[in-house]
Amino acid sequence: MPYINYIDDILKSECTEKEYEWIQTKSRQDPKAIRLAFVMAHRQISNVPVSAGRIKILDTPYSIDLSQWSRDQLGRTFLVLSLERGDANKFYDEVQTIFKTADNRESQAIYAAMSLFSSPSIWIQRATEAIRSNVGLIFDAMAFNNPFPAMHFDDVAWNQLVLKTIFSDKSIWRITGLAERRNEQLARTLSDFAHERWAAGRTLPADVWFLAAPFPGKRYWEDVETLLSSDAADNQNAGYLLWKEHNQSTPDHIKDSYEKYMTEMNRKDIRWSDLT
Amino acid sequence: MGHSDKPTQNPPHFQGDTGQQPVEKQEDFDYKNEIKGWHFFDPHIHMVSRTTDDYQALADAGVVGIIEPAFWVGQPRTGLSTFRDYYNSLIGWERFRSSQFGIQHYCTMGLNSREANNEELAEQVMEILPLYLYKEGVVGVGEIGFDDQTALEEKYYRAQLELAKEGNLPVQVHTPHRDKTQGTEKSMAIALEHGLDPSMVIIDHNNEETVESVLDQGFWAAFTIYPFTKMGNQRMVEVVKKYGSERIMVNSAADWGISDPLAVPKTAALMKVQGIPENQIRDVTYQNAIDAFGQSGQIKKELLRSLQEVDQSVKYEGNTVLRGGQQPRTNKNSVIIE
Repeated sequence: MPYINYIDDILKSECTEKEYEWIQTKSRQDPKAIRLAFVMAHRQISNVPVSAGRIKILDTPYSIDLSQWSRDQLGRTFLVLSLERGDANKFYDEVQTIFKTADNRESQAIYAAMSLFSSPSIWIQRATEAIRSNVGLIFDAMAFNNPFPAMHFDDVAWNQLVLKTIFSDKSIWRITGLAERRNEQLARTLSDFAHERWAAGRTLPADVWFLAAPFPGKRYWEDVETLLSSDAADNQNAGYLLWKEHNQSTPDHIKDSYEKYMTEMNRKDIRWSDLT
Repeated sequence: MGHSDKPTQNPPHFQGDTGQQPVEKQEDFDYKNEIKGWHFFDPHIHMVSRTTDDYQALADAGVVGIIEPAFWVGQPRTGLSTFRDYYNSLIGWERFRSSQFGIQHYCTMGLNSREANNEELAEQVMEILPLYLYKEGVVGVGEIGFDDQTALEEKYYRAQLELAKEGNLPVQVHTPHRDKTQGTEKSMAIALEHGLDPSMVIIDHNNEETVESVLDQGFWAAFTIYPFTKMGNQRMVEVVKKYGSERIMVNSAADWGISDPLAVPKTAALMKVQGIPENQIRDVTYQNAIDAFGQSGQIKKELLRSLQEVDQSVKYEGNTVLRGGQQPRTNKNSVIIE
């Protein structure tokens, strides 16, 4: 329960006196009253963005950017955390009860705060439910600005999260831990997906090739060639960045055809996150 | 029952209203031209029974907000879980589906009159109902009231009126099809007996026979434009000519029966070509419903001045409404599907 005091401090500075008092009173009541307060929070606390602040997740390089949360969401997080009173299984049951009748914003608040819960392993199954959701708000709450997946998802669940982000035309750069959780299986699936899109005459955003960058192979260089010969500037840029990542092992035929182009590109400062 | 000249394999929500014949077909005109740029609010529509195409059609016709009352879904539910999942869809999936088209989705929550007759289940539903009444975007208790006018229906109608009073929420009252006039009077008398302010009560599914008493006693009078079994919109024009627009509102109650989700904009267009003043049309197809249900404090009025810009970052994935890479708008007249 290391985070509740920190959230308390932020609430104190963010909330009106009336709002803060309400949360404090409710958080000391029995679990049933807290569950009802969790529902009613939207009537008592304003739905405005939290002005600033980050919650650093202990023993990780990750944090949650609170400016992407609303004030009533922060209040709901505080109420949920106040249900955590030592017994992890009991806490799990309490939160599952809230989930049973939760609306979209209530679910959002719980999923977004899951990396603050103790005993994370019992939450993994529930966390992957958010990734299966078709409600954007709920998917986003787990996928973005949330360290839980990077910390606890296995590769199968992680790859689903990333692919679904791409599939729904959302930006992968909002995913916490994106670079370090890249894996070969994901790179292969991404390439398959790209081929499917190309076959259907559709495109995919060029920045997602960042996910393939650590894994050069036969397929890798084929895709580099396809990207370099694309009409779209960002595809060419992606091809260039993939090439640059492994320029020592570039196949000769690519080197020969694109040498002049690469020299020219080397003068520009192109980054993955600039591509779209 | 009822309409021997119309196929009714699918019993409509308003089944049993035998007295009315299909109205004469109006001379068709391009109704969308008449209401271009206008905004509408449909305070009674069961989107859970409608397709995504209907959401698109609503948005195209200028419907910026809707209320989805909790109702009977066509067959009786067998347990609490299905009730809960249904309530969850009203505050979850439907709200999200609606947002894809920039339409504000609200709901009223309640135990409908038909299922109030299953006492064992009704008791369980009443246990969880209060939790839903305090959710965001829940603008009232509804639709509740009488169907067969049994003792159990009355018991749960009364219990839910108390919940409304406690939560200071408006009530959306479904009035029965059979023995309508008496059922409507009884619904109002009981609401007054429980100390509800009539300005917090919307009496729904009115007709020419009930409207006067409803208005005289200070309640809101809602009219449902529903083909063959309820009000036709030509009759609605006459009602507004006679009673004006104060405390009167129009809805579609579109559901899984033969119904029309565009009943509100179509009625507005008919009113316009038949000379009803525009401010009165606005009252009955937009403003009055917002004022009545806005008493819940749960309607964000500033969001109802126009269709909200659809946030492309909340697009759907996979086998549902908007797919990755697909444009949210499709040309319905095109044979080619891209």
